[in-house]
Amino acid sequence: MTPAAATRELLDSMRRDVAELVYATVLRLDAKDFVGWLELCTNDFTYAIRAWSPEIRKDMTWLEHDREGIDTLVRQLPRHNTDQSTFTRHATVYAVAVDEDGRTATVVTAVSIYRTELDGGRTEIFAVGRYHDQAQLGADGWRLRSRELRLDTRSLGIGTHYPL
Amino acid sequence: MARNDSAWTSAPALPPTHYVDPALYTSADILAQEQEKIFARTWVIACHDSEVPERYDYRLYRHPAGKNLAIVRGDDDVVRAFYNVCPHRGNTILYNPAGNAKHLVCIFHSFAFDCKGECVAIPREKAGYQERLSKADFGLREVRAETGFGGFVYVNLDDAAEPLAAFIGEALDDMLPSLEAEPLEVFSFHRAIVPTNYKLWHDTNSEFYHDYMHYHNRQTSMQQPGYFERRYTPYPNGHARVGDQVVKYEAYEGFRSRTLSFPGMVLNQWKMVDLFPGMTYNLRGSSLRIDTVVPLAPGVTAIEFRGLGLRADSAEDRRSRVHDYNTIWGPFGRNLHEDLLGVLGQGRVLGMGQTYYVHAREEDGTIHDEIGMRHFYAEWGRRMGRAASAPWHANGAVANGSAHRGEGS
Repeated sequence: MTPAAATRELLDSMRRDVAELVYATVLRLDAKDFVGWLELCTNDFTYAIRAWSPEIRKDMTWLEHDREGIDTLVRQLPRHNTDQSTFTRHATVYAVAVDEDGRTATVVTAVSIYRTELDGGRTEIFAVGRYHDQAQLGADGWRLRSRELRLDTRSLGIGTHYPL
Repeated sequence: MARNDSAWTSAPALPPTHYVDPALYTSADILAQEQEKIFARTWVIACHDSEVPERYDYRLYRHPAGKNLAIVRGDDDVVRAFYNVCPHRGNTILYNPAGNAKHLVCIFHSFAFDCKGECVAIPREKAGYQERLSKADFGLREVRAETGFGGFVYVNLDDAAEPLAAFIGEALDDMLPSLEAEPLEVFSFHRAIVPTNYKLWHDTNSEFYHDYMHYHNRQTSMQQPGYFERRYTPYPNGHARVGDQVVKYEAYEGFRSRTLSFPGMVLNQWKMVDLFPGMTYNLRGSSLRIDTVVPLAPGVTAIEFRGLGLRADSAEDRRSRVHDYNTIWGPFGRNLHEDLLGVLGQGRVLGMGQTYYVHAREEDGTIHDEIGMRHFYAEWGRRMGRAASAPWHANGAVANGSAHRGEGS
């Protein structure tokens, strides 16, 4: 194998690993295993939900937390009255760009989020958007360092307490 | 003791001011009359002037009386409102929710209008209309608009309506110094379409007894000094103000005391005013939330939420205000989801045999007194010409309405 081919293979392997990380986060979020989701994130993880508003012609932030903030949010969930519908994400990793150091990566993932009511199981599209993730390679493998969910959908009904 | 049908459907042994017939939330006839007698005749917030900051900026607004309006800032800096309808063949003129257009041009036949609503161009005008019609016959329908009370653009479809200041009266006097010390700016907008009646949302904003639903409010307000001393002050035209409280945000794990306030406010001070027929100013020190409602059907409501800070905010201050706003408000906030879940639950059983809604708590006008809702429905009854407790019988039946109490049509 030539050095160039070996490098390509290594990069492809890294891209696969990063994509698998994104899909693993989706599976745990779908399962409402938020603690398990955060185990796939670094200690300095940041999380945000943003959207562009054509109505006020501004970029809006609807949720923004550092690791401590998102840990607290998850821990406090049981204390709140929350719609218990399930959320199912359909995610497709569109692009993985591994940095030259081979230890960080930028990922863009298209995501559609479906909400299914407990009573009767009716499913509706809750939101569509994209995950813009930063991943980092550490001793335990790839972990999510930041996630920004850019929502196209801005009419979200009663909203939710859950991280998306 | 559980009740049988007779007991369930009987009016409560209370003054009629203290309960509401459920038909108010289900009847299409009542909603049609509300649109005609209330929404078409009262001032409602269409947008904030920061949404149309430049000359020729426009912002669309679906009016709760069923009109599609365009709010336009003119070249004279005056903000006007027009029906967003071409007077030629009834097409929508402006399609995007906001933008900038020196001329409002209908894409259908290229009729063009200026920022004052005057028709300024008709393709091949003389060839088609000769001397029979001209641009002067095709002006837009202008709607009364006034900007005030924190820079909000209020509109009124009634050409003969009282001035905005007379409608608001003294309801916002206590909050006004904080709202008008310097210009405000919208930083968040979202519209929640919820299967519920618009009045149920305004009810939620008009009573605090439901604080039991909010873990955040139980920790930061109910268990703090001053909560049970907050008093309602009713004002003419159905408005009501809730007394202030200093909130202890840090009592909720992971939250911190807010670092910013609006001008003239004590840190973490909370002020709130409900305006008839469906607007709320909710000022929690660092950020202002404005709710407005648009009924789409008796059981479907579009609720628009705006978050505002100060136009002069530094980037750091704005980020702080946005963060504070989102902790409890916004589509992912701790409180707003719970409030919307509450009215969703009410909406799910609309028309399914609900008995009278009881607004009977009397606690000397303090925070768990339901005087806010009673005051709203007194005004509702005055404008509708019927009591909210007996809408089918008082001062005449609802036109074309069902006589069966509770289910409506």
